[in-house]
Amino acid sequence: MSDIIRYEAKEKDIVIIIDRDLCKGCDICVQVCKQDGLKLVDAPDKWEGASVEMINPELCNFCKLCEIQCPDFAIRVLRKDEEGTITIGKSKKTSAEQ
Amino acid sequence: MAKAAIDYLYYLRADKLPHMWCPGCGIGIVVKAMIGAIDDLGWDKNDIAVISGIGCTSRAPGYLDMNTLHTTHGRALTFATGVKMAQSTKHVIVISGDGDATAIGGNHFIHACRRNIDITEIIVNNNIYGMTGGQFSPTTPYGAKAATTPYGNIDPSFDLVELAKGAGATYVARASVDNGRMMQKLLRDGMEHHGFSVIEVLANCHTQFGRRNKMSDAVTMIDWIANRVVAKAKADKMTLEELEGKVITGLMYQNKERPEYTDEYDKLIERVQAKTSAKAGSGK
Ligand code: SF4
Ligand code: SF4
Ligand code: SF4
Repeated sequence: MSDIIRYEAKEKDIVIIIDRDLCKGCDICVQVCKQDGLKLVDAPDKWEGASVEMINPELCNFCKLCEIQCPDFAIRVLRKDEEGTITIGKSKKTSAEQ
Repeated sequence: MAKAAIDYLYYLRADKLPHMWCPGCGIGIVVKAMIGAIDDLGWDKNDIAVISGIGCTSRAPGYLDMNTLHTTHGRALTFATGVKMAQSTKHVIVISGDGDATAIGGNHFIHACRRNIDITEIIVNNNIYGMTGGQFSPTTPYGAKAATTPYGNIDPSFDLVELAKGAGATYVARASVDNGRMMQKLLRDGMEHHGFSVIEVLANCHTQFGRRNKMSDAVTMIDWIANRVVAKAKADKMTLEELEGKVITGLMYQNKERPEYTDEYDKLIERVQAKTSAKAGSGK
């Protein structure tokens, strides 16, 4: 099973997904986030010993810099439509499936 | 409706992840921008061949769920040329490191440029041989330390943009890993260009280069790159003095007039076939 943390900004339609199995704790996303939304935490259960978490999803402004600059495909910043659905590629997924 | 997000996993061999690159290695950022560019173009992944040689960068095709070839050191372009000649309607992309592309494969590089064959070559320039232990490469900066230049490098380095242009490439651009969005755009345009495209990407190898040059983590080395680069539009307004020590990024050169190699080859076939069938028709 994959080890995924999912954050939802209640006031907005933004969903942030961090895949802890892919994150190597390199700190790049933390540094590029101008909203100071992310932080590095110890992850003794992971090979690299560090991983990333969100401080507060409400701070996210959907700039997507963390997603673009992450070398490990470990963080995704997604948007729900009016029906609460997220579309990835050609497949529509409900936010619960994400 | 919100624009569909890219399905990265569709383009990746997800069972091979996490990839082998060091935490924060720039190659991962390049692979992501490459997928973004392919997704923008709407190309079918089954029509794409990604070919590499040897080195950290050359491990990229192993993670891409496309037609991939991991070949011998410096020879990616020769295999790619073969694929393109046999299947000229397919999209052929080569991903190479600086050592693979311009030292061991230097000769193949200049001749692919000269032929102007419709291949896109992405050169991930991290100034060093990462995989084999940090030996200096043709792009290690003057004065920098490497495993084989412990007292500082005295070799002047290649300017890959000038090299590609001089040898005849018809799309030449430079990107950097600190700006994934710009890289994606330059990769996209290079892939779309009909002819030989070279996109140099300034990247961090903090493990082998950075560690020896006071930048031992990814963030520090990416910052070093970010502080050196200037986008072309801005650079055009700067004086030579202000540009001292800077590296210009953006589209550096494009020529849509020069004939492309597989087109020339098709014309040759047509010409020779017309001649032989005319001969056969006249009964000679
Ligand atoms: S950039 Fe990616 S791998 Fe690095 S800490 Fe952030 S999520 Fe993890
Ligand atoms: S999308 Fe932008 S604001 Fe939101 S977490 Fe990522 S870097 Fe921060
Ligand atoms: S050695 Fe350098 S190029 Fe190779 S994976 Fe590590 S950081 Fe990347």
